[in-house]
Amino acid sequence: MPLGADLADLLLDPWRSGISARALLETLLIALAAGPLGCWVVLFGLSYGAESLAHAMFPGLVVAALAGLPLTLGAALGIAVAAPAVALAGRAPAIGGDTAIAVVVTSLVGLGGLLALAPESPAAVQDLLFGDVLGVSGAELALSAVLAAAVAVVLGGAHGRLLAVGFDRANAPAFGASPRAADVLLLLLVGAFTVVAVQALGALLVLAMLVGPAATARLVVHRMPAMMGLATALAALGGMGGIYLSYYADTAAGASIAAVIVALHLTTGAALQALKARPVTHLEAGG
Amino acid sequence: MRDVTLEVSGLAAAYDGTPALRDVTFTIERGTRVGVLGPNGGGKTTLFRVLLGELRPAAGAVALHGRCGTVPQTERSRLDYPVSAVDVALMGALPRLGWRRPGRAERRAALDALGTVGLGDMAHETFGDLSGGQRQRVLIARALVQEADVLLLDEPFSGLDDRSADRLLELIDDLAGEGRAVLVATHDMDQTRAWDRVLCLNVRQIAFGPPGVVLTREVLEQTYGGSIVVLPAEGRAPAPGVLPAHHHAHEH
Repeated sequence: MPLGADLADLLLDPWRSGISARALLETLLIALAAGPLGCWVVLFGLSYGAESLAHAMFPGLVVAALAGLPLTLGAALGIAVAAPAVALAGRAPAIGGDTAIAVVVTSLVGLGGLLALAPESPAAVQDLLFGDVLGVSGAELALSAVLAAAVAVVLGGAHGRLLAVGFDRANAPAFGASPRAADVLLLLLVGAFTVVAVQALGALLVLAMLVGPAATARLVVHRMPAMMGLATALAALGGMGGIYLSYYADTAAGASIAAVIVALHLTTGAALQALKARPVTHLEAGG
Repeated sequence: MRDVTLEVSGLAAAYDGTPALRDVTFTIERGTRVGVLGPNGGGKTTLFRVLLGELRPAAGAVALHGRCGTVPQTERSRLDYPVSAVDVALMGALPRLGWRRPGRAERRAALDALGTVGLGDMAHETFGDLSGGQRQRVLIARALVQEADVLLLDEPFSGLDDRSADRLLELIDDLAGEGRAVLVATHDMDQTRAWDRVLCLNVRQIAFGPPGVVLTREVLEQTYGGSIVVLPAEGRAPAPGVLPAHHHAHEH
């Protein structure tokens, strides 16, 4: 069948190019980590802090690019500076935590911009901001695989405690679950995720993969395992969709991935609204 | 004394040096229903936090023979959270699970506990979709999974309709019948008349004993600081009633 063959070509073409196959694998690995981790980030209300962290590491990336160091190292350095700065700013009593964090993040992004626009800067700034999933190396693929495995093992072991803390912070200690330990664990994982995923998605878009699919899944399902599964599937779908979009529309891969993830969220939200607007035909359980 | 499950002697507690509770001394046996009365800020929640080991006593001693389980107010838990009733009940198994995932035995215990509180057929409903009374009973099931010998219920009747409150009263009787001690922080003095002991707190212990002995006008005035009004009761002799000043304010 010519139509079937055309469709198959359409879907398989990116895989035949070695570069895109690698990019697809990278996004799938990142999706595996982003799905479950993103669910906890959304449920714990850590999206803003995670986003701040990802943006504030930008100068680290630029410094690494200027010095010819691996981007991952720059990201780690950036996080090492940004995390304490954001944490300290969050406690600033005078102007309020949110404002202080915004000031710190804006300053660091501005500093990164200044460095990036310096004449001696060899790096394409947009790769650092929006990622270069097509340029991912074998070592980076391996790192992403390690990240996905580590996230699965750690979140698996801590699942019960995280669930108890998110459910009722005040009383979680009575069940042997420490809210502070849960926060630290999640922020460490978010930091690790950001460092690994920044190569593919960039400082501005890395959080889209983490928060977007989880926020969408939360609209649809009401159990944690289902939410994690759906978020992972949506992240993978967004990643693959973005790569295809970028392959055929010749758009930047990271931005395309973020665009597909946002589109999935908006479509899901609209679909649920439309379903809700229909007359109710069954009685709600309750009493 | 036989079957003592909880002994508190000369207990005092404070938050950052500010005294919150002092002179608390009582002994509770298995199968005892205890009403804990007092105004907001009177120390009910503070006492529970000490019994749970979350707050170190400033003075005195607590001897607990068995395990203490908490049943917090349901407003403290999140209703938009992706868990079922059995997921919540399973949290009671966390302390003994450590880093292990819950297995068949824990799941069985959680379902049994939900059966005990009359929610066997609601085990897989989303927690936030349940009624206030049902959510309260899920949290009791969680304490049962914890194998608690002493149950601490913090204002469990607040926000419940009459039918849910009656079911909860029956459940409290059943739990005590199984040999558990049940401490209930409440604003409703009349409820406590049917129970075995009443503990009156107003920053210090005002009284402890059987309701017939403890619930005198004098004790209640000391407990609530004189905010007592006599409520006319239908067909009965007027009994002193208590109008708590801030029914919904949280204690700290």
